[in-house]
Amino acid sequence: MATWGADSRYTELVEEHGGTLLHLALLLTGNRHDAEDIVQDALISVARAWSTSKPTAGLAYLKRAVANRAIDVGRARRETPVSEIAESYSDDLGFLSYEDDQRFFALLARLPERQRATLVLKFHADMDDRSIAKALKVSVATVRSQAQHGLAKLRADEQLLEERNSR
Amino acid sequence: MTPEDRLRALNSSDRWTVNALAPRDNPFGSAAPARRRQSWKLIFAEIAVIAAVSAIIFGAITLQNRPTDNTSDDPVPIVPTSTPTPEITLPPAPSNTPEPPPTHAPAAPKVARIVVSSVGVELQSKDGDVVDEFIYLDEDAEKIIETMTDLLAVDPVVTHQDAVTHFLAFDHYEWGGFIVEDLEGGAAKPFVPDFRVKAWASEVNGITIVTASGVGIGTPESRIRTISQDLGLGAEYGDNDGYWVVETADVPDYELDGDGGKPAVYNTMVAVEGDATVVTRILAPGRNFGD
Repeated sequence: MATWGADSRYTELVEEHGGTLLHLALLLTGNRHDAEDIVQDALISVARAWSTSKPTAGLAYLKRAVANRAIDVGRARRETPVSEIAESYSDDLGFLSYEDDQRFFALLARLPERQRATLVLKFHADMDDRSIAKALKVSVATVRSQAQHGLAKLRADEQLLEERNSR
Repeated sequence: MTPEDRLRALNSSDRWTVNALAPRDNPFGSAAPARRRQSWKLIFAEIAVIAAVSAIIFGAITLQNRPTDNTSDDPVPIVPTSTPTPEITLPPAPSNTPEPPPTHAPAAPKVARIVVSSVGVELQSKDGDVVDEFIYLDEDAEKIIETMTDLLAVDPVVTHQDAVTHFLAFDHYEWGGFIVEDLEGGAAKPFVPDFRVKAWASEVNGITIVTASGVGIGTPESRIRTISQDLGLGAEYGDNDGYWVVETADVPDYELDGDGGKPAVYNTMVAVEGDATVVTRILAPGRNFGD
């Protein structure tokens, strides 16, 4: 039976970048179902686009593709009536090993979507402000102010949580 | 651990219970879900049918429009000679994959506003879309000077300011009310940005000049006082020689050594000068690097 060249390219991509991209998508979307779909779609589109057998797209390109899709999913969710949303952001934190990370993730989930995406892309995906601006379709100034406000809120929430726990 | 460090730490795979896509999800592999495989077959079949129909229609149109040239004895009908094979015809990639830049750039939307912020200058359309932007710390002044010259359709008046005491020399470009000063920050960044902007007109060449917080030349001082107080700045900046801070932004990747790791700040300032009761001048970025 004939096989597609894209098959081996897809497998290579999954092995090389699958984990990293899945973690990024999980932080952006908050649920495994969406995250797997997003990463899979990004890898398929890249694997299919190559006419040669050797993958050449860099991880940065793939991260941007995943970020674009995650943001589209977020937009679609906003346009869907609440009653029709099957899974919301972060209803299962089992994809993180440690309780401390899970607590942090729960705080991250409380941020407005754009602030959360900005922080994840900036500090987890290590993207520069211009790339984030392009991915989120906003200005660099907006990226910086979103990061600033997001970090301030995270710090304040962490402090609040610590104070509550110490009582 | 700071939130930034926490996010960075999540790059370590041992903190995750999932580390790759499950094999069952490989759409190309032998264990691919039947539904997805079926959808690929359908896509290929549809493409093959569309290609064949298109070829036939093209052939028919070509025949119909063929000029009746009598020098040709026996016109040969044009028919498709081959059918596209599904194996080599792949569907187009989804639209949200990063694409290479188009060969012909679409016409840029018309600039309606010059928006001055503490991070940079944005050119915005009347709908608020960002047409172009220039960041004080990211690029030299050349780009904004070229763009403003094109946008305002007039060459700037250029003057040179010599270095005075601890102030560096710079070139001053002015387009009738909007000014760019080329400071050549270089190694002195972020203490000295690459450029700064000033304005004393509410608009130039029909383009409004406004700060990111919505302040323009002519905005009442009472409004400025409210904005400044909302920022928690109050008298610290408020009554400082008629200059008010109306927006602030942390300088990225830079912390003050002697101030508990606080970020340095760039700000957008406006002046209410002389006897005026409204804003007469805009300036950015002002700097606050602590004591």
